[in-house]
Amino acid sequence: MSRTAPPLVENQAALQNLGRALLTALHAAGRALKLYPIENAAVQHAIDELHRVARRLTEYEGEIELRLVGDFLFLNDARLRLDLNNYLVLSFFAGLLSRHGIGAIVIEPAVNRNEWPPFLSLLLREAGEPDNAFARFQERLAASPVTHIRVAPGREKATVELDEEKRQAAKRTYFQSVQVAREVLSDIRLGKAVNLRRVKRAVQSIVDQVLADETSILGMTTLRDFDEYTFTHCVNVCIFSVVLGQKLGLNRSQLYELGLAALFHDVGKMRIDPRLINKPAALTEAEWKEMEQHPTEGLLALFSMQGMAEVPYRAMLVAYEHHMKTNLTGYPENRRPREPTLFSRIVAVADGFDAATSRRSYQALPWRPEEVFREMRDNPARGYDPLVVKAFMSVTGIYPVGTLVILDTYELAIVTAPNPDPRRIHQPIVKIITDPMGLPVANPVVADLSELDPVTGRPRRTIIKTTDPERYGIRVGDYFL
Amino acid sequence: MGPATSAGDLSPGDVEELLSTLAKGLRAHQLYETNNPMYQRFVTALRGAFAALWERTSALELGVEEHGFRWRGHLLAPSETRDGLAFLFYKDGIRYLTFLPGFEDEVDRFLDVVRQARLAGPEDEDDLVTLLWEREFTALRYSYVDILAEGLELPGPAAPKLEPIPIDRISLDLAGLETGEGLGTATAGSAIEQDVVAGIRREDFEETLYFLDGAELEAIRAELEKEWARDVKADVLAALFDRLEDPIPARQSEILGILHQLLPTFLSRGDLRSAAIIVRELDELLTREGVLAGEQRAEAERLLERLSEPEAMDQLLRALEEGAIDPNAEELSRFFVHLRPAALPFLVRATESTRVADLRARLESAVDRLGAEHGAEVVRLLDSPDPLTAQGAARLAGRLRLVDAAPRLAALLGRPEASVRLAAVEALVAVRSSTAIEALQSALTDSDREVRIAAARGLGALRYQPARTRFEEIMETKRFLDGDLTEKVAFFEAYGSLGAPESVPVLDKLLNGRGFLGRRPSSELRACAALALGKIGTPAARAALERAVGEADPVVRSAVARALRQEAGPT
Repeated sequence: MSRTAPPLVENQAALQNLGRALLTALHAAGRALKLYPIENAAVQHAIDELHRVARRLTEYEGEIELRLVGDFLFLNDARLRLDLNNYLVLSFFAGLLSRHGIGAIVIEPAVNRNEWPPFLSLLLREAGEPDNAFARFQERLAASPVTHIRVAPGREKATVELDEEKRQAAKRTYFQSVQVAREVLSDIRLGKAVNLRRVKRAVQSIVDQVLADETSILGMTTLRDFDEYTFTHCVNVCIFSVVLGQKLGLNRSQLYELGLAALFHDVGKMRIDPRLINKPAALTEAEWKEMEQHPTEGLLALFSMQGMAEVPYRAMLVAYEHHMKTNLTGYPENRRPREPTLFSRIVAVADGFDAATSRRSYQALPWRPEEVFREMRDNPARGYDPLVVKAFMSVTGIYPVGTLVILDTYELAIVTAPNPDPRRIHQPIVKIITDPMGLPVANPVVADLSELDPVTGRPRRTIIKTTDPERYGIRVGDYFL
Repeated sequence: MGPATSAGDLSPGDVEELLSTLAKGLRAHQLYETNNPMYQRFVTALRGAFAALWERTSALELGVEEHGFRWRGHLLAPSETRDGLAFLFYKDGIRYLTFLPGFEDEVDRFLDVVRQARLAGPEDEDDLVTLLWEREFTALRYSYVDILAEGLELPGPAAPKLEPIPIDRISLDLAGLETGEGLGTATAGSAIEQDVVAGIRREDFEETLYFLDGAELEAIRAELEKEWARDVKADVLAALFDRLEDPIPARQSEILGILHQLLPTFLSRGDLRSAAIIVRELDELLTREGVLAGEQRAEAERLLERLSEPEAMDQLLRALEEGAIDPNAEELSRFFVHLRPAALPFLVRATESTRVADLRARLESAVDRLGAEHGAEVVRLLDSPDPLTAQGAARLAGRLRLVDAAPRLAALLGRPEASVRLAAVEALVAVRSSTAIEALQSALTDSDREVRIAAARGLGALRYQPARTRFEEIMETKRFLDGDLTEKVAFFEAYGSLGAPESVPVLDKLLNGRGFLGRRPSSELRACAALALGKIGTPAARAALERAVGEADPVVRSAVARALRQEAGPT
């Protein structure tokens, strides 16, 4: 363990907003140029706006690079957050780049307004042959008056190494959040006032982490501590919910509200006898009945939580409804018409996934992630919202981060990130931890399973099975620290 | 990549001046409303100062220290006290502030955040960092010390300890022999060819199973819209009432306690819709046997009663009158209908006392529903010594056509207040019982002109022909003949409206006849008679009017023409 000095954290909201504004301005200018001649006032206005936004960005970022990596768009090192209100602009931009085999656009601070129309016109032109589209584009660009906007080819493969700094930030956020969850839930159990300022900061950090780099923070959910299950579970559900909410198009403040609700989803357990919560054996029917009171207790506990400026109605509903199935069975029983909120359905999936894949006091053998997905997706009796389940799977991939897999080379590997290319969902990024002879690898190698063997033209490695880490005495979390 | 913080040709004095303008803007924000010209002046100056700054530098980065801001080694806006602006940021952990071009457009939001942070106590849920996070500034960057990390021990990088794994064990695992899940021995590279091999399925390669298509994205968008539009308070209340039905007394008491807190919260925010859910559900639960018993039942009853008590009603009505809450008629109605009869005196009085016409209409509509549930209480209120209450009760009784109220309404005609008598007459007209009509006839000679006119018009509207002789008696009196024209017109029209054939000769004589020495009645009376004949509308009445068509007196001629038109027109 190492004691850390409180770090300085820089807020990224300004960059995000300007990045989105740049995309929107590119979209507007591109559309205007497509529809009208260059002299048209609408075109001129759109170019003015594009140049204004680009200048603002370059003024404090210096050179800016817009890079498309799989599904995501990065502005310099920050992944731009998009939601359902602006995903069309990404689709427009990505389409233009792909057409010409461009992976990134680099805008230099000295860019001038007159460079935009020819650059956009080149982007809007039909591409050459797919094989040489990028070369053809570069040729045309070199012949144009554009001197301060450069392009770079698409990357053959996604960046596979997790950035150490990001990983450290994710680790800090994770452990801070677990600590806050521990404090808050313990305070609630003891009937003490809750430090909401710390709770807010923790959830805000999780939202920031997810928005900046969800893979790193998702990796932290593998650091499950049996003794701390109650608290790590709350934080994991919070992380999974925010990741899922982001996929569903929630904006930043909505993600925060969702994260807060998710963190408190099991608050009702603080009003249940701890001996029952920690019972290291199967619960009796009577004990289950008592355990099933925790959603109701959660609703009531949130009412009695002091110091909240606003009554957290959505969080209350999440605490109350997260064990309710879409057909309204489950618990608690309904006497009045009810449709679980979207937040509740999101948290239900996140909760179900984390609980099933964890070792807990009354579940000695965790489920494998893909088994949980299949059960959630294919067994309607489980009562999860199919659309939410699908969205969750689309974020985590078939093999969620932390899954232990056996490769066709007989190597054991741990999934560290989904493949950014959606067509390669079955070929995640992995860390290889044993060699084909079963010997541990001293410095685990990161591999992209979509990488092809140039000789055979087939993937170098393929997953042939997911397996239980405990069977091999592997602590998955160790590989994420 | 950090901001390009070229300081341009700025001097410490320039930055000091900007910070001073910022401090003035903050003071103005604290002292004045945002539409106040003083506030506008300071904020405009602040916006101007930042806009001018960008002509000289591309960013302004300030270090935040306990006693001032640090800029290029200079301590600016120094303050030894804890009232200084820098300390406000410092105490919440902020250590650097970077203002960027465009900040001038975010000045108001920034001032608002700082004001909120100033007002916040140490126990409040927000500090500057959480507030800045929520507002998501575009042209302001900040770095802060992460308080959550204080004292936190982070695990260092782990050195995973892994023993060599016998290759047979992996083979057995692949074959599923350890778990009995086996499907035969898997050979390297054969996974894709088989339909299912040790956990991997062909469907794992089917990306459409995992990615949201356009229709699904649209479905999600619709879900989100629905989510933000839904009434989450109503959902929470439904949950509370579901659980209130659980036969667990301790839980019931806790829920009743929550409802006790929620009700005034909803009322104070004008959310009568949610308040109405509480009273409706409680009302309904109290009618069901066995759901609430003993102490919990008594508590639920007390809650509803308290809502109808003078203090609660006074608060609510004042908030409505002052516009602090502004529910629509339906919301008011849904809420009022579940109040106890004890609330009626306050509500009926409010319908009379309010000066807000629109509110009166909403209140009347809402009070009608409550009155309909408690007719006896409405009748009882007619005895109220308070004129406004009695008057309001009379109008309510009229709107509800409470026949039982007629004797009390008749009794109100003896009250000294003309407004009360007038309300009683209007209600008696609506009630239409024999007692009511009897009382209306007596009101024809009331001391107040408005009451007399209302009574006459009421009887006319009821076409109560037996009242004809009473009208004739009054219309012959000197007081009536000397009275004003409006009253005469009202009486004659009402007399005509009774529709009695016997009235025609009387009116014909007044219009066309001559008296002693061939003298005719006054033009006014003849004109009134013409109008009354027009109301009767029989052939005989028309014949009488036609005889006067060529009348030389312009007042009479005009009245005749009007009466004939009226007779020809729709009745």
